[in-house]
Amino acid sequence: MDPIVCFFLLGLAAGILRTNLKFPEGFFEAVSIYLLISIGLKGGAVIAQSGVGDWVVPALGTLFLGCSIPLIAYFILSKVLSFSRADSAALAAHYGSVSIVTFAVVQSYLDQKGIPYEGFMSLLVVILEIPAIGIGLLLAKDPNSKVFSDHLVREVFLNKSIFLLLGGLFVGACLAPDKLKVLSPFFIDPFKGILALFLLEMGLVVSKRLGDLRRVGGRLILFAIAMPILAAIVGTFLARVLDLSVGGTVVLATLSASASYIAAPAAVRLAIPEANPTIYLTASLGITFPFNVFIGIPLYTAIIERLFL
Amino acid sequence: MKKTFLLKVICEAALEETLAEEVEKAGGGGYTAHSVRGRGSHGKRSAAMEEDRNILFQVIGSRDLIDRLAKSLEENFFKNYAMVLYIHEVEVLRSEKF
Repeated sequence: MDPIVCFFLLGLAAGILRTNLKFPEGFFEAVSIYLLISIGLKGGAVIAQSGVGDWVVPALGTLFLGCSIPLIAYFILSKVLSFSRADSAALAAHYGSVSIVTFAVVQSYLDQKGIPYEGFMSLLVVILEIPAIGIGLLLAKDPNSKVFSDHLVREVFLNKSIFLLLGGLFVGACLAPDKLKVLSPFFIDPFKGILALFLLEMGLVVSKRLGDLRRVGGRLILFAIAMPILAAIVGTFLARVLDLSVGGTVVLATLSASASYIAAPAAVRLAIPEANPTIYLTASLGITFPFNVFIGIPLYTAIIERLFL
Repeated sequence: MKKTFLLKVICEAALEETLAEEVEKAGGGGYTAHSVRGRGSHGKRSAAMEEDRNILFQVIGSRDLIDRLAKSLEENFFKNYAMVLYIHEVEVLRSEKF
């Protein structure tokens, strides 16, 4: 097992055993800022060295993917599983946007297995993240109601995840490789250790959601497991059309399968107040995140390797 | 000393900006907010993540201002958000500020 995943298990255990382990307030936010910048910097450095032609088509394809996943999710939720319009739209926003930690975990998994992937994947993360929340909010919106407030538009298109990833990419792309070396002892080398700490905290946070599983019902549990698999299939096909490597295909499949729990909940809580936070947080954080980490990533990798290697 | 009132709101952290806008709309002079932990009908709020964080939001003002604010919060937020609201009468130094 990936050593990073061990820390997630450790966090889960600490929560389930009710130890008094508790991270200081603000830790979660501080470390997510670090992870976003680090991922952006690494991606930016690779993009600087590759031509526009290498990533522009995958970027456009990913934009298409980012628009389709929330629509597919909304259709399934509202028409097949008969969730309310607000809950369907809220979940669509969460499943359309991505989990940056799941992205970091799949990269670490592929590194361990020695499977290479394209360096511009972190650009694709931003592109996948941008349309989803906006589409979710539009789906929820009463057609007669007023347009979004400035505050909400900023929350959707310029939230801290998008800003820091884009900012990191930009700085990484502008800096000469030797300048980037100055930052690497902090932003690049300790990345995995800090990611491990973050997963310890994620384990604690997820363990607190487990109690809600009994309350949310089978429909939601089914969706939170079936949707990542379906999205991974869509992502895999698109990655093949875009001619990504096997590693790149696994990353795009995993990104498609992942659900947000930082950017999306903040925007959704304000914009879709009728949607029940227990439903979308339990689905994305309590079910889909651990599913992807423990089962999804190894599963997608095994299937994609068998089909395309 | 002029009668001055203190409105205390305990609610989800996500609402802080929105409440600040409400205070401004109602003509209030300002507010003070801080993070709090606790337990209520929505379960334990441990403040580990932003979604799990509550705030205590306080506004000082005339009875009229506080009543208008309380009414508007009740109308706009009670239905869909976790919110506890209470009002004290307080003695404030430099009460002309409020």
